[in-house]
Amino acid sequence: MILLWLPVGLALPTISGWLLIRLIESRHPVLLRTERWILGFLFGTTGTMFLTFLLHIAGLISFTRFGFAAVQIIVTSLLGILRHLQRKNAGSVAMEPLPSEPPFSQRMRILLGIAGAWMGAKILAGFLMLTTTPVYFDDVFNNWNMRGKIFFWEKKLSLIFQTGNEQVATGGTHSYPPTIPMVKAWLAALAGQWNEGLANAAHILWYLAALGLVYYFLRRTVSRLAALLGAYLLGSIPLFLVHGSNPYADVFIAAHIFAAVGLLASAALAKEPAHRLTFFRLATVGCALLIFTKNEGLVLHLPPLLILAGFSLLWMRCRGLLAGREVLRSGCWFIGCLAVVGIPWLAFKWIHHLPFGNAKALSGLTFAWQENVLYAIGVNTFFEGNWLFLYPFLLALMIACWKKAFRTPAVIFTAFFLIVYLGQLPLFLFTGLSTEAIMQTGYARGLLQLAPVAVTLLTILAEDLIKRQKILKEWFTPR
Amino acid sequence: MTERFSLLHAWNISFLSKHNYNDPVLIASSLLSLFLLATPAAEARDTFEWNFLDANIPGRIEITGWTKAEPTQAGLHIQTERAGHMTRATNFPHPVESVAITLGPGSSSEAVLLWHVRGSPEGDLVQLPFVIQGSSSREVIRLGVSHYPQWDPLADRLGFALSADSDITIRSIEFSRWNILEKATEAFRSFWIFDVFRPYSINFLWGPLLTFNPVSRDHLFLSVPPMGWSANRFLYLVIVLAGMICWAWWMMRKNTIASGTVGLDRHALAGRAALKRFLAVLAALWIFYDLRMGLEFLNYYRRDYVEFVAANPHTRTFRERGGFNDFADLVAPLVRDRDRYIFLSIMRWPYLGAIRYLTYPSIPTDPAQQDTGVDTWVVYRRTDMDVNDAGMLLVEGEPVAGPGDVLLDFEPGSFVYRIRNPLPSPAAP
Repeated sequence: MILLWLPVGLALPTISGWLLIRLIESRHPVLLRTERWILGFLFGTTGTMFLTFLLHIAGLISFTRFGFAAVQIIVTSLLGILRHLQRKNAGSVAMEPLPSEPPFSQRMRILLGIAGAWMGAKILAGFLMLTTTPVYFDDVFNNWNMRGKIFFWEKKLSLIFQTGNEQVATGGTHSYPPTIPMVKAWLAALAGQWNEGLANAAHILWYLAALGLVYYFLRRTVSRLAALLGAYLLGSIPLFLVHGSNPYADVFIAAHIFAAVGLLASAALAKEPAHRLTFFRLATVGCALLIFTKNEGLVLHLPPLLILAGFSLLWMRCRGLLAGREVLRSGCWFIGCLAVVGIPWLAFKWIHHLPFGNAKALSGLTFAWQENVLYAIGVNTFFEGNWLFLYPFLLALMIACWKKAFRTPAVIFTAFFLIVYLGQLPLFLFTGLSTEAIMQTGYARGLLQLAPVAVTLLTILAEDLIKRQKILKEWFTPR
Repeated sequence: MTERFSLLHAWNISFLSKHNYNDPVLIASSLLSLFLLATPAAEARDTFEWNFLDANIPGRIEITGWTKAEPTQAGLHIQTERAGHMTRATNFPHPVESVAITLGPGSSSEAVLLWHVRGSPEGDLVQLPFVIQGSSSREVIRLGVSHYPQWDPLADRLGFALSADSDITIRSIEFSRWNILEKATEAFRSFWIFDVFRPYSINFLWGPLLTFNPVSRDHLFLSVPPMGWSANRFLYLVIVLAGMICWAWWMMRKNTIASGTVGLDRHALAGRAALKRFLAVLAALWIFYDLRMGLEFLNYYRRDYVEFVAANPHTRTFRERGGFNDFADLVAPLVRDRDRYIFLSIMRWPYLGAIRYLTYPSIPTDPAQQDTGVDTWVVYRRTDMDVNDAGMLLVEGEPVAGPGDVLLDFEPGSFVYRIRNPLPSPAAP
């Protein structure tokens, strides 16, 4: 029964997120209805925790039930009022319906039913693993849940905890944004007690959010069948499911990464200037919130997004898809959103001397070839059960469908994936971070965080190949 | 003869086994296994043995270092105060894939299998450590040696070494190999053996592995890295073969498609059909692999449910951590009114970090802290610690704290102890 606090605790953040998205969309709604709720949950939860963090370090609230709830009630109310005024002035416009598609054949419906049941069974097992089994992994009892418990007990953002023997632990994992521990602390405060199942249950929602965002992006931009395929493919990635079923932060950041990349790609794909601008603003919010997910969100994923956003604006300007004033306004919006999240968080890190690396400082690394790293990378990527055939197939399709991969708006996915993946390799091949590859820790997490982007790209390219060869019609047209 | 040993460290053993003498046989077995239905375990195999019963000594054995090695009716009885080893020339009649050592009554000991690789310098012996548990009746130790790249299936010299103070009786040593059909069966069966959830599972999953004899299959996932070939090797091979077959089919078909169809490019038709078939193979392989890994994931939770969630709280275990979580649940209320307690366990990791989290805000410290007023000791799986009748806490029989009382007696070596009159905490400055 204590799990009932989960929907109660996430309701207001989700509604806040939904209202924020609706305000940004204004008279040009671009998202599908369910997609807007999923994105609302993702943005709202992270955004609400960010605001709570700001008010807390300003000394205005504590991490109590009242403190958390007050922020959420005020934010939801303000956004609600703004949305009400917006509707009053601008009216409400429905999103244009998607192009109609022929119904699935009976054979296809049976296949989809089986696939859905299979995915449902795995997700149920993952949910039960999260909520009925004790903590098991290091990062859970040393970082994510531990900090959540500290926040809950101390009712404040504590950067240290006593390790006994008059010693304290600081820095290291405390350098991570506190979003996830704050969510756990909020749920515990709501329930009045620390409960493992409740503290962990939100992770399955982030996993489902990643699946949902991939599905809806493909639904909007490609086809219904591609959307179902993409969701199935992501749901079949074993290591992604393991992470969705354990209270780690990598699926959480993967969902955020996909939201930002997907929205940016949607801006490039949109046909109307107003829709492009709306998607771009939404992508900006996604990029800004990425800063408050994990350290690598800021250090590893935001820079390529900045580059791709800049190139996208430039491309749209050159092609005449956006006016100069619109490009300038979008750029300012982008910088403004990043500043709203980035400046306070970076200032906080600087004041408290928190490192920027993935629980390890990046400064002080020396450069030299590291033995056995290439072998370990090859084994992890191609010869273990982590990814099924995701990365070999993706590589092959990037070559077979290079025009689609590199000369259409899908290049945003391609470029982001390649920049991040290839950008990490020198760190593993030439620095002391090589242990992260040899021990298959940091390297695997990097691929995990890219999994939704990789799956979506694979689906887009596969769909292109099948469509070009007109195979699809032969397979799935109802007789 | 001076013999030099090169130690076969477990972590050096690549499960992408290289330089195996019968790679083509194993590859063929693997391909066959992918299409083979499981058959009952094939006991038939080629076997020969060195029999030591009835005081028999097979061949000429050279013994170095042992103080006593005597042929008896029950086998070769080795009782030695010093470390030593024995070897003999092998003259294997066929390649060997597994070694099974049958022992009679004896004590536990650390042992090492030794062998000489043909062509290597004389005296260079490869070592494979193993443990003799010791038994009052009979013990069989099976070693799946064929998996190790350093194994020579026709090694010309073999033996083993024992540590000092060993007392064992060797009844026989059996050498076995399996034929291609049996290997294929084993590969198929091992493909469906699931790993269990372990600390590394959050970073990587081994995935399906192939072994080619029942000994290696029994030991699958018991070592890190596991003794098996990644099944991905062969799935990629299937993909390549499917691609080649589809390409060959396309080449044949593009010239034979009926020319009666007006306006159609016969090359495109043939190419489309070939691609359709190839993509169907890829899709089938993906679904097949998803089924394999999905079942493994479901099995993770099935084990958790059976062994922990639905099990008796007094006897349940959680993965490889035994009853630790239930112990911690019972400890938490006992230390709730203490800001610190002393914690000692069989291993620092993962228990220290885990119990710190589980009992927070009460913090575990080390034994020196009893001088600062910490009065509670939480001990987990330390069979060298106990409390005597006088209420003194003992480590290896020596008192270290007390007198006090046992607040929780969870299992031998796992308890909570509180000192009756602790030292006062140092006054705050």
